[in-house]
Amino acid sequence: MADPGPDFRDAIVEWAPWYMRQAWGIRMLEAVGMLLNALADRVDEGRRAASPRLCQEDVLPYHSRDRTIELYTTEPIASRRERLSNWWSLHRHRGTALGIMEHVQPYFLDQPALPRLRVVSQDQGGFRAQWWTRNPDGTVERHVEAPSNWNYDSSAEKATIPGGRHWARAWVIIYTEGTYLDSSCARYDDGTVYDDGSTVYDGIAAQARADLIRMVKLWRAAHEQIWGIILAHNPASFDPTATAFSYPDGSTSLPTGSPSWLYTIDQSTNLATREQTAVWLYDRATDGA
Amino acid sequence: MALTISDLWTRLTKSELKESLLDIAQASGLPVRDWVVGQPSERWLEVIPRVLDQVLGTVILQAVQGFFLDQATDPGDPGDPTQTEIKAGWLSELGRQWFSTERRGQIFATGTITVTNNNATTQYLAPGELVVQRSTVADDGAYPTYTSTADDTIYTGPGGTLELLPAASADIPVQADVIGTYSNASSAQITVLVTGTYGSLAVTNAAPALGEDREDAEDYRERCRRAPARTASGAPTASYEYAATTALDGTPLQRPDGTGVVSITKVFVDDAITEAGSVTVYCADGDGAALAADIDGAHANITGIPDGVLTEVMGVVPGSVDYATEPAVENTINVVGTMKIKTADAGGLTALELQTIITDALAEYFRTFPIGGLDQLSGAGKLYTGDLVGIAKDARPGFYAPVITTPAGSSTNLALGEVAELDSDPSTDWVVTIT
Repeated sequence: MADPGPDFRDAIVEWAPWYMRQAWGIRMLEAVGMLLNALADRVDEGRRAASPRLCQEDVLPYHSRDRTIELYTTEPIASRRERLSNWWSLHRHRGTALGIMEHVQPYFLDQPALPRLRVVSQDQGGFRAQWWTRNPDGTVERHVEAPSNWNYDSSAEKATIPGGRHWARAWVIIYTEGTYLDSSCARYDDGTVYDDGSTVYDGIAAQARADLIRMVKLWRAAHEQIWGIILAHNPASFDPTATAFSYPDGSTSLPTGSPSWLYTIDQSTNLATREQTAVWLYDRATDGA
Repeated sequence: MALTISDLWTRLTKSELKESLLDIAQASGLPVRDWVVGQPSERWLEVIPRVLDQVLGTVILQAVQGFFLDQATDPGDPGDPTQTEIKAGWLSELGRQWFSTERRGQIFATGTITVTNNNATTQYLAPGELVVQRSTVADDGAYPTYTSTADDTIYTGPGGTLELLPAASADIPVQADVIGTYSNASSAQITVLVTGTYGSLAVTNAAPALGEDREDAEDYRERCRRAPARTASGAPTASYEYAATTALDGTPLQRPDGTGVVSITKVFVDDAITEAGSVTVYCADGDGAALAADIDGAHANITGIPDGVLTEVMGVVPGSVDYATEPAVENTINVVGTMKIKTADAGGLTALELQTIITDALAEYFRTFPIGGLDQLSGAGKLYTGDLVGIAKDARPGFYAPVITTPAGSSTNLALGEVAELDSDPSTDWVVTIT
C-alpha cells in the first residue's frame, strides 16, 4: 500500500556531481543512500504502526490496550484488525443487540463467508419477541413478533415482577453456514437420538468456545443476561417471522414454553425439546452465568 | 528482518547509525574501518550519522510514539525528549483527537486579599501594581508572589484605581505569578507586601489561594482509555463503572452538595448477576464503603437525574431497568501476625515503627483490593491470607519468617458487594522481633 518513495541509493548518485562518482566516491554515496533507504523504511513502518489495518501484528496489543478492545487467542488477525479499526463504532453500540453482532461477526473473517447472526429476546409476559439480524453483507434487520414466537421457558417468576423485566434475557444465534463451525461442529449426536453414548457436544475447541462466549458477554447490556449462544446449522431455522411447530420427536422449531427449552430433554416425557439442527455453544442453564 | 514496535520507538544511537553506515560501506568494498581518523572521507562517516540522529531522535521518534498513549508525552512530562516547558504536545493531541478527552492544564492560584491602609494618606491602588508575597518559603527556597488583577467593580476610583482611605480596608483579587500548586497558600499566609510605592499597607488572605498542576500523564492516559465507555448507547457494564466516578466531560465526578470530588475508587457492578433486568452498583473508597455524598453523586450521574451542583449528568440506566446505587458492605478483617528482622536490617527502627511499616503496607493493599475479592464467581470471591503474608514480608527488605495467625484459614470469603476493610493495629496485632 505504501508509496515506495525514492530509492536513495540511485538518487544520491544521480544527484552528485561527476567528480564525486569516481572510484570510492560512488561506493560511499551508495552506502549513504542505502542507509537512507533503511531509515525511510523505518519511517514508513512507523507511520503504518498508527493503523491497526497496516501495522505489524506485534503492534496490535498496543492498539488493544489504548482502545479497550480485547483481543482473543483464537481470533484471526483479520478480525483483530477489523475490530480495532472500528473501535469507536463498537463502543458506541456496546450494550445493544446490534453491538453484540458487530462485535462477534468479524471473528469469522478468515472463513469463506461471514455468518448471519441473530439476537432474540422476549418480554417477560411472552407477549412479544424482538429479533435482530445482521446479515453477512452487514445489513441489519429488526423484527418484532407479537404474540411472541420465543417463549423459552415460561419463566413465571419473572412475569410476576412489577414492571416486568423487558428484554432482559437474550439469545445469540450464529448460523454456521460457510464457516468452519458448519463441518467441525458436533451436533446433538445424529440429530434424532439425544445421547448415543458419546460426547454430546465436542466440535469446537474449548478456547474458541470460551473466546466466542466472552465476546458476546462483554458486549451485552449490564442488565441483560445471555441465556444461550446457539450454533444454527440449518439456514432456515430460527426464522423471526415463523410460528413454532413440533417435530415428530417431540422437539419444537422455536421455543413455546412447553416443552421448556431450559432443558434439552423434557423432564416429564423424556423427549427432546430443542431444535435438533442447532447446538448450544453456551447454555446458561447448564454452564452457569 | 521486520522491525518490531519496540524497535520503532527506540531511539537509534549515533554509534548504531555509524555502525550501519560502516557495515553497508564495507559490504560495498570500501575499507572504511581502515580510514585514517580525521581525514575528510572519514569525517563524513561522523557527520552523516549525527545529522540522521537529530532527525530520527526528535521528529521521527516522536511521530511514532505519538500514536500510542503509553509512549506519547507532552513537553514537561518525564521522558519527553524535547523540552521542559509545560505545554500541550503529542499526548494531549492524541487524547483530544482520538479520545475526545482534554488534558487538564495548570491553573494559577487565585484568591482575594484584604488590604488595609495604615498610612495617614489616601492610597490609590491600580490593578496589576500591587505585589504581595506568601510568608512561608517554597521548596526551592523562594517565596511565591501574587499580583493584583483587574476587577471593574473594585477599581472604580480616579483613573480606574481603588481609592483606599486611611485605616480603610478593601478586598482585591490576586493571582499567583507562578502557575500551578507551587504558589498555593493557606488562609492568612499571604501577608507580606512587596510593592513599596504604597507605603504602609497590611495584607492578608482569609481564604486559601489554590492553583493546580497539570494533570498527571498516567491519570490522563487512563481517562483516555475509559473515554469510549461514555459513548455506549446500550448501557454496558463499563458505562456504569465510568459514570460512578467520572462526569460526562471526562472530569472527576463532583458531589451534589458541592463539597468536592467524589472519593469513590472502587466500583463493582452487579450486572444482572442477581437477577435479569436489574443492576446494582456498589461503591467504595480507599477506607471502605463509599460516603453518602459520594453515593449521591454516583447515583445522579448514573441515573441521569440532576442533583445539587450536578446539573450535567450522564444517564446510563435504560428505563426498564431495576437500578440501585449502594455503598459496598464492609467486611472488617482483623490481621494479626509476627515477623522477624535482623538488627542490621532494622536500620535503627523500633519494633513499633517496623510493625507500623507492615500495617501501612497492608492498608495500601486493602486500599485497592477489589470489591468482592479475587477469583470471583457471580460477584463473590476471596481474600487470600497467603497474599497478606507476602505483602507483610515485602513491606521492608530484611523481613523474614512472616506468620499471620489471623485470619486463620487460607482465605477469607467476600460476598457480592462486600469490600474488605483492614483492622490491624501495629501496636497490638503485630510483633516484630529484632534478632
